[in-house]
Amino acid sequence: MMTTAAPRTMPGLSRTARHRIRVAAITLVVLAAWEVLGRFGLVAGGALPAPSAILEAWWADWEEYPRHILATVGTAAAGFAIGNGVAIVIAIATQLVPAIDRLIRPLVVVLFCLPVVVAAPILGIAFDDPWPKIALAVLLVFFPTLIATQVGLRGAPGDAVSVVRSAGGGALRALFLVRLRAAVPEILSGLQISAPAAVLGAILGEFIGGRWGLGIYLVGSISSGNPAIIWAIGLTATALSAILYGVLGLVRLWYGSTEKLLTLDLPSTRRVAGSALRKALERVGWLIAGLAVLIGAWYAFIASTGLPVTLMNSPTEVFNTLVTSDRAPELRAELGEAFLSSLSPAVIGSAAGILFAFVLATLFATFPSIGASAMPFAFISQTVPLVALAPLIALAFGRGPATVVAVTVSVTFFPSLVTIMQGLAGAPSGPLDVLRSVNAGRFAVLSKVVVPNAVPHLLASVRLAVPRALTGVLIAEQLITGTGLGGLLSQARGYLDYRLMWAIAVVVAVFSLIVYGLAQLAEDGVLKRRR
Amino acid sequence: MSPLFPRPARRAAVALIVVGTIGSLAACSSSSDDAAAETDGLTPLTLQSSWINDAEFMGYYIAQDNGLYEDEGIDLTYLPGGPSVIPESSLLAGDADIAITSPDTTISAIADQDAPFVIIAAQYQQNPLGVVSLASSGIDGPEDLVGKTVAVPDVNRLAFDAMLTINDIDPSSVTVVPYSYDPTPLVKGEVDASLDFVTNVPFTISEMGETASSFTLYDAGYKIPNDTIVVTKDALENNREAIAAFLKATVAGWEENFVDTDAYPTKFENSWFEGTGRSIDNELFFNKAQQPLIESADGMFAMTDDTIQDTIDSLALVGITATPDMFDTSFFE
Repeated sequence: MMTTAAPRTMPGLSRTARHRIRVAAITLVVLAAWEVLGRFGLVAGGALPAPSAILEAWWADWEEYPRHILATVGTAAAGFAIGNGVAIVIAIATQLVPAIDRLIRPLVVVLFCLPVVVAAPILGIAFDDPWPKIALAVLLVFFPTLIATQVGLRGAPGDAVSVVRSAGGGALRALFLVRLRAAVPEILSGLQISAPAAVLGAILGEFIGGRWGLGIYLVGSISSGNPAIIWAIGLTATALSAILYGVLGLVRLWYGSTEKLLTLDLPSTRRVAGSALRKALERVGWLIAGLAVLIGAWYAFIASTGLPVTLMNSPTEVFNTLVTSDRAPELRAELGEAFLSSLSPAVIGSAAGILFAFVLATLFATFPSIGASAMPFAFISQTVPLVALAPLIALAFGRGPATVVAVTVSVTFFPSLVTIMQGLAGAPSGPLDVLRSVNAGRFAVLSKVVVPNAVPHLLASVRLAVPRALTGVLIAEQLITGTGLGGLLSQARGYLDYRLMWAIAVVVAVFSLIVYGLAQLAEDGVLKRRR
Repeated sequence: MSPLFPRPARRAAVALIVVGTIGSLAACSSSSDDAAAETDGLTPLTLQSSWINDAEFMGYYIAQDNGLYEDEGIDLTYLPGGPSVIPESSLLAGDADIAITSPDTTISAIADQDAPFVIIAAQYQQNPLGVVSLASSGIDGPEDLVGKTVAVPDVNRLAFDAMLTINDIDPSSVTVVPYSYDPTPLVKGEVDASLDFVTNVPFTISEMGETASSFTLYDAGYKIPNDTIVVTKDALENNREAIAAFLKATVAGWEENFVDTDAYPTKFENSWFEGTGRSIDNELFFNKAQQPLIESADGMFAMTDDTIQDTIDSLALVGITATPDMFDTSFFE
């Protein structure tokens, strides 16, 4: 398929040079196609602007940008630094003391899956400017890096770890001599996932108010009804995160060329001695402890803000709302109905999201040129707030269930994509060389070595994608269809019904925890069988 | 700041929270500008606006730039709003002393959740919210909306449903979809109408080469004001003088604005309106169009007994019980 873009043989050119030419050619073809679609108004009755029109709009307003960019970059950078710093420290702590992992996991999953539309106003009143914005960026950044770092730390070469330990080195020494160094590629891929998340978090944070920032600029420009201007702002955000992503990619390349990993063995699953019953009991015990931490943190947060219960509902309040209050039966019925209508797009969306990420990642691994040229476009879905794209999506795809699924995929696929790509790239070089020496085809290499090696990453990517599926559905429903839980959330906002907003947040949290737990169970099962 | 929630205690407490995950972040939140205590004998007041800077808030900008608040002994901090800002929440949180709100939302919160708010003034005596459509669509009144698709912002869902109910239209006979103030779906015909300020979006629609037609919710019988000025009961008791001074200066700012609606939007091009993503022409249109909705024979910002009764009657039709004690008209007596 690439022969259309560049001749198969290009004598006299190095491998990298040929790759670069292909990437440039594919990118140009895509841009040309976009230009035609935009110029002739072929998509959504002209709501998709041509790249040249976007550039024109950007150029016409360029004086407006520096101050907004500076504000957004400041917030994003703070969120990126704090979120990733805390994530890496916690990942190291959980490697040394696995109990910490089990204790904080429910809390961490819930924080990651909290719908921004619920979290933003709460953060806005709980902290003083600029911390609500930074906090939002931290929330989006933190979890993927935590998971990536943990995968990396566990995936350290077992031989090297045992060498250090048999020489009398403790867990701490093994950690710093072997594990951390071995985990650098995964940590870097975690940071790469964070790059667009930090920018998006900053922009969504700016919706909490303020004077400067691309988010503020976007809100004002949306009412101008000029898609080129909206895209110019959105693509500026995309460019900011792409630059950060690219720099991290260079660091990864540089690190990859200096550090030769021996082999990459499989992450060791926790070995629990004893009967199946005891293991099950232990699981339940940890779950209860984790939930206790989650609920304790919730109470502590509410108490620490000193805000009235009208605004900040504690678990007790939510229990009252849903169980003992006069409106409880009516509310439960409403919530139940909304949840059921959001459930199927969430299930379909998360399955489709992972499949999409896997197909893309294998495609990218097989045809690196396509991967390199497609990545910038994948970024658009990660950094441009959906509120800016909602009218275009509605015009192009309507306001039905298919649109909700598509948006859910776009919200969830990216962390999975990067994680799986990291797994595919980490294939051990020994078997690869063997296969290449017998002239095995791309797909043979892929199916015999690359994909099996990436299974742990694939499983981790499921844990990243699935819990956020309902959040993705909520965003789509709130901005495009007005149905289901998202629609109910909008209604709660309109009636200033804080109790209903909290109840919806709890429904999302419970769903996220359950599917995360299922994904974890499946992961443990698969990894155990592979041992 | 609101004595209900002493800020130092809150800050110190906030610093302790969110164990582990965002802990380092919380610690930093305790360090911002608390030193804004009374300087020059001025009383500090914070106003939480409901939206980003545009002509909707001209009077407040003028009163600040022209020193009208200082003249009344007020040091005003103006907080712009945004899509994720719930102005009433800022009052509850003690982040603001005064908020600009949608009265139906505020009243719903007082009535259904015992929120301690009082409405003390109304910027728009007549609500500029209306149903905006393309002139070619032939939507001239509520009855034309049956079977149509209308884009409605979250915060105005209640108002829209109320307007339909008042006109004996079953809200379920109209398809409502979310709206984020982008007129594109309307101009492209993907929706039949949008609920937006009739003072604002028709300008953009004409820029896009179409002609807009509109009717306000007010004219359709949903007679409530908009951009109501709200304080907490506690502030009303303990901060009365400062609030009165704020209202006086604000009204003076709006009076100055309406001497010539063309004067100030241009003046603010490089200050209040710099980099908002909106054109000055749009603000000029907005400012002119809003004049008749703000000015009133009874005096700007004043709520008459009729205004209050109309509001109570309108909301009663959608099952929200407003009572006269939710309003305080004493500042304009």
